[in-house]
Amino acid sequence: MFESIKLHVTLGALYLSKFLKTRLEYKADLMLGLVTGLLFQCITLVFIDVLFARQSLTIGGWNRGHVLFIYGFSIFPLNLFFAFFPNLYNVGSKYIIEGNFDRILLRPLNSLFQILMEEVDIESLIGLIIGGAIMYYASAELELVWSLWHMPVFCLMAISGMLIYGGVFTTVASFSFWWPDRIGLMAPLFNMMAFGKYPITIFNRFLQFILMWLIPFAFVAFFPATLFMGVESFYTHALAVPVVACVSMLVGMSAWTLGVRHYESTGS
Amino acid sequence: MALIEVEKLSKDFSILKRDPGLKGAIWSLVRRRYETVHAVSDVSFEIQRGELVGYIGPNGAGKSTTIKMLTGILIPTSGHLRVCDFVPYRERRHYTRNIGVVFGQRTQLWWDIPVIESFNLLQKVYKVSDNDYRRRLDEFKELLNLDEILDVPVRKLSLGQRMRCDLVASMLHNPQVLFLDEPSIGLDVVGKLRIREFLQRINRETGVTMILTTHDLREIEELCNRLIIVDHGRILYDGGIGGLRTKYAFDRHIIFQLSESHPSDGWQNDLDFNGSVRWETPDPLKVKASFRKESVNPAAVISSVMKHLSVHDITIEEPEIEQIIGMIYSQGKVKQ
Repeated sequence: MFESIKLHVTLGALYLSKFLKTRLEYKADLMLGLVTGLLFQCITLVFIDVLFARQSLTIGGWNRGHVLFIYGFSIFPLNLFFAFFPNLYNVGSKYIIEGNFDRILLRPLNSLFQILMEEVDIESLIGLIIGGAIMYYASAELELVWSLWHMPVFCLMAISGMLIYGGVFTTVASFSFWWPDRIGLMAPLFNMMAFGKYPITIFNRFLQFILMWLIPFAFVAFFPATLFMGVESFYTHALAVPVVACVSMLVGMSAWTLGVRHYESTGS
Repeated sequence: MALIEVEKLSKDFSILKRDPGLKGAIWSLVRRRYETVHAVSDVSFEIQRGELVGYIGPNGAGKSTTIKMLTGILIPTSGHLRVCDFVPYRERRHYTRNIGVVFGQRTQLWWDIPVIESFNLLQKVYKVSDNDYRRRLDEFKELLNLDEILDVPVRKLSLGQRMRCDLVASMLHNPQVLFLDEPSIGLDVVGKLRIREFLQRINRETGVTMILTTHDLREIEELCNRLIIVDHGRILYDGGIGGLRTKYAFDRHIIFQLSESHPSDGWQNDLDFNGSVRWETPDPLKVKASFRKESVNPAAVISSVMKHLSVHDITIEEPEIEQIIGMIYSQGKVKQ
């Protein structure tokens, strides 16, 4: 078990370095990707600014600073997810229908790991700068004091958020093993991600229930953000975030394992 | 104990039946009808360590499905399967360390990175020691002439070059069994020859067991000492190529080109080999004798014909392996 984890971690680093090398071969392409990524983020920033142009605006008891802070934090797990899990979107088409999954199964490594490692969207990481900027601005407005212990907790929360997304989307990607030509479930789920950017208390009970227990996107940004904003009523939820991340990944990996067992390969 | 044991192996697929057209597509959303296809049914065989086995059959015969079950990609519907003491699909990650696989249709290397980097990565994936890795790579490099292409990304290689690299990739971890699914598909004569020589050599030197599917029967003839023919998911023949030839060698022909036309009648009577030779005279200057290889001595036929007729040229024809396989495919069975 330990041996296997060690092998996967070393290989993960190796895969990543090889991947970066190929990306660097196409420097123009990479630069263009980074610039468009940055532009895209700026557009959302303008949008947010329009929404909160009025200083006094509050939603459901949350003021402008809170909402901006949650939004800023949400960019971290979201863009980490976009950076390291983009290949989940291709499972049905590229791997199952085209039969590339055969090649994956012939290697003595975890199949999900291999698929995730084969595509990394480095450009998405540029968004983290914007996320940081928004949070910096929002913390000034909320008069938050950052201390050293916040940093490791912040990283833990951001990574946990990424894993929550990862687990949920792995579960959905696993459905491709039964219905490879349907990616219909992915799109509504992508839209659901938007709910994670806002305080959960502004939604109705039904939606709150779903976001907490079924598709736990409330744990991705809102609960962790409350921890840094010092909203004590949600501390227990915030502490549960890493646990939710583990459960989410476990569900995803179990669904994946079941799916692999159902894999039927292609004709030739 | 055999290295590969396959017993009553079957694989069924259920295929969604859809009526043609838009109406059919909409209906299929509501009412799903599945049809079962028996891709492989009741296949049994054993392969010993070091054997080089050709696994052939027409398109859609179930070859690839069998290979995919043997390599752990597919889970059998029923039957018993054991390779290198593993049940392939159950212990996939341990099992795949013991085998090498080459698909002619599809590369196993990383598309965008140089060949040598792919190899280095595989060294780590399969935990090959530096010493073994360097030794094998040097040897393969020389055998397959890889020096100039090692630094080229896989996507820029020609089909032949890519195939050679795929072969090396499959052998770097010194597997016990090498599965080759149409390794020479689309290659030119030189490319095929090079691969054939490589396979022969590594089989001899490392004793690796090989299973090869191909449509090129020349390849089978030159490489394999054993042949398994399948069609419609069933085994039609399992044995040596020589054995197949004997079964089908009824018509070994000797054609005599005469320098003067043969007497119109009666000359065959003296050449009676108890009726086991069939005589034909397609034209006055040609005589054709057909017989079974094991019942008649060809030399005797030749010498007795020479005694009676003036012969100026002789050709001996044996049915090509292609013709034999063609007959087996079209009849759906092997002659008893």
